[in-house]
Amino acid sequence: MTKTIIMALLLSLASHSQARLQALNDAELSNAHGAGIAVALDNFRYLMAPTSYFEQVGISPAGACSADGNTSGNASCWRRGDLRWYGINLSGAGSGGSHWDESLCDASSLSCPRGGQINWFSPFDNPYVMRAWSPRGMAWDGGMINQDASSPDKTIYEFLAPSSQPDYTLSFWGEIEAGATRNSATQMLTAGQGINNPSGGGLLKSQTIIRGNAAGSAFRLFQHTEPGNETFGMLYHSYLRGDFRFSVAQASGASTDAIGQAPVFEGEEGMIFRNVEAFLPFGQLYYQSLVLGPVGNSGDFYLELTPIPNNPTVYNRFYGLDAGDVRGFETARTATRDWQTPCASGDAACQNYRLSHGYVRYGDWYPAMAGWSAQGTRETLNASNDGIIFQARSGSTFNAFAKRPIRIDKRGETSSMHQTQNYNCDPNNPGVCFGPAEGPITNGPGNNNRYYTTDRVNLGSARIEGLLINQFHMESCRPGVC
Amino acid sequence: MRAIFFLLVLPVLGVKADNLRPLDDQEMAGIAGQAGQGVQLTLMLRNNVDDSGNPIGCTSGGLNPCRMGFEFSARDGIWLMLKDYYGELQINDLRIDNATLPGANTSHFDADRFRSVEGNCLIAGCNPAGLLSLRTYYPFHKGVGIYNDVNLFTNIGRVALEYDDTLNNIPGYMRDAASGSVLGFRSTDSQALNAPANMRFEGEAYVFGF
Repeated sequence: MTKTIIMALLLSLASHSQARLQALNDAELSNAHGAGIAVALDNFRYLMAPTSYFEQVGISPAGACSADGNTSGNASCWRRGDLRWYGINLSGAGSGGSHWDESLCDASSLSCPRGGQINWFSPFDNPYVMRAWSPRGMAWDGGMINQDASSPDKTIYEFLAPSSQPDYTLSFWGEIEAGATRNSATQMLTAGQGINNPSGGGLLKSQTIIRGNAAGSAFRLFQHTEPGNETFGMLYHSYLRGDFRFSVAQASGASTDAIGQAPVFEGEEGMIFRNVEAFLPFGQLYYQSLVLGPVGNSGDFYLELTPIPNNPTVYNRFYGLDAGDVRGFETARTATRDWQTPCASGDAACQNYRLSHGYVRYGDWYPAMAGWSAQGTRETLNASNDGIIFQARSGSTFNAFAKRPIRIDKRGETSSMHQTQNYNCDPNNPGVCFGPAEGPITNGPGNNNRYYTTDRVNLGSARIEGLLINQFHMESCRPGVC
Repeated sequence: MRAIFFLLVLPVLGVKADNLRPLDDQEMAGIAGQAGQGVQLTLMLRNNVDDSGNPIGCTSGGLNPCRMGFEFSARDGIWLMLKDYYGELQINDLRIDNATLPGANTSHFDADRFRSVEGNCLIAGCNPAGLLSLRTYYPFHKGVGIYNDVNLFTNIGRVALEYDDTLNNIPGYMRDAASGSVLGFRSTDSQALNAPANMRFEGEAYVFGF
C-alpha cells in the first residue's frame, strides 16, 4: 500500500511542468529559515528508578595500595575509585514528593529529594531551543565573524536553556566506592566490593539536592578559529541559582549500607548552601573553545579550554575594559559595584565583561565598599535561611570551635608577639557573640577548651567575583602509562 | 493512518499542474492530522548485545568489534575510541500527536528567543502562542515505583586514543595499540547484571520550529 502511494506521488510530481519549477531567492530562503527547534515541557517530571545509575568505572591503578591500616603498604599509594549517580530526577520544588523508597515527603524544603510535576518547566514562550545559526562574534585573530547576515562566515549549533523558568528540584543519591576489585562488565555490584578488599576500601552513600533553576545556560558547538587548530570546539556557560544540600546521614529505620540499595536520607543533616548564584563561562564564541587533542602518541588525550590569544584586539574584548582603563582596576571596581545593574544599551565593554567574567555567590550578603552600601542580610551565627551552613541531624549536636595556634611564630610559643584572643561566647545564647560584653576577655595563649555546642553553624556569605578563565588544560592519565 | 495518506494524496493526483500553487506559511501551519489521530511508538535498539542485554564478544579486551570512534577536524588520523561499547535503548509506548500551544503567555515569555541575528521576528509577533506543535508524551507506566518509559543500558569499557597506522594502511579505529583506559562508563541498574537503567517521563513535550 505504502509503495503504491509513493509511486503515485512520484508520478504526479514528475508529470508537472518543468517550467513551474524555480529556485527560491534569498528572501524566500530566509523566510523558510528553520532557525530553531523549540521543546516546551509542561507538567514535566523525569525520574530514574532509585536503583538505576550512571557509573564512572575505575581501574586498578599503578602503585596500588597493598594493605590497610598504619603500614607501609598503605602509604603513598592509590586505590581504584568507582562513582555512581543513582535515581537522577528533575521534579517540582513545591509541595508533594517522595523519598528514594517512594514514601511521601514535601519537596517544598530541602528535606525531600523528589518533588511533583513542574508546571511549564520549559515554557512554550521561552523554551529550550536547539538551533543552527550564525551569530556574530570575534575570531581568534581578532577579525569579526558573520557581519553580513545574508552571507555568514560560520555556522554554529547551540542548545539554549530558557532565559526564565520556574524553580525545580534536581537530585540524585550516590555511591563513592574505594578499592573495588570487580569487573563491572561481567560481575554484579555485590561482587568484589571495596569494603571487602583486604587492602582496604569503603563505600560512602550521599544525597545531593538542588532547588533552583539553570535559566540562561548555553551549550554551543562550533569550529575553533585558531589557525592550524581549527578543530571541533565547544563552549558551556553554566548559570545556576538556588539552594544546594549535600548530606550523608541516613534516616533511622530506613537506612541501608547494602551496595546498590537506596536508603532514605535524614531530613536535616548536611552541608547546605542557600541563595547561590553561580555563572561559570567555559569558553567564548569563536576565540576560546573547549577542544580535545592528543598527549604524546600512546593513547592519552587532553581536554583544553584554549588560552586567550596574545592579541590586544581579542584580550581587551575578553577583559571588557572600560574606555581609558589599561590596568583593569577601574573596570573591576565599577563592575563589582554595579553587579545588580544591567549594562547600558550599547555599552559593549560592560556586555563583554559580563560575558567573560564568572562569579560564584553564596548567600545574599554583599559588603559595603567605598562609594556604595552593604546589601542583604548578614547571617547570624546559626542562621538556617542564608549563606553556608553545616547542620547536624535532627536531635544531634556537634562541637564547633577553632583550634587556633597558640602563637603564630616558628620560633615557638614564647617568641611571638601575636597572641590569640579569647571571647566569652555563651553556648546557650550564641546570638550575643557579637556583643561588646563578649570580649575579648583575655589576650593570651589560646584556650582549646572553648567551643560552641550547636546543631548548626552558619559560616556566612561568600563571593567570588570577576572570575576569568584564561586557560584550562586537563590530561588523561592511563594507569601505568603516565 | 491510511485514511490520512489518502486524503493527502488523492487531491494531488486529481488536480492539473496549472492549479498547483505553493502553500503559504499560514496554510502550511494549518495542516494537521485528523482529530484523534496519532502515532504510538515503541522502539527497541540493541548494539552488540543479545535479547537479554548481554554483550556479544565485547568483554574479552583487545581488538573486539564493540567500538565507536570519533575523528575531529584538525585531528586527522587520531581517533577518540570508545572500546567495549555496547548497550540497548528501549522507548516504550511514546504517543505522538499534535496540539495547539496555549493562546495566553506565561510569566516567562521572552520575545528575544524568537528573533534573527538582525533582531527580526522569526514568527509572528515573536510569540509562539497559538501555534501548532508536535506533542509527545508517555501515557502509560505511571504507577508508584514504575519506571518503564525509557530504558537505557550503556557500557563503555575503555577510552583511549588510537592512531592511523599509515605504514600498513590500518585506520586508527581498527587498532588497539593503546593499553589501559582513563575511564569507563556504564548506565545500568543494580538489580541485575547488564540490566538497563529505567526511566520515567511525565508530562507533555511540545516541539515546534521557528
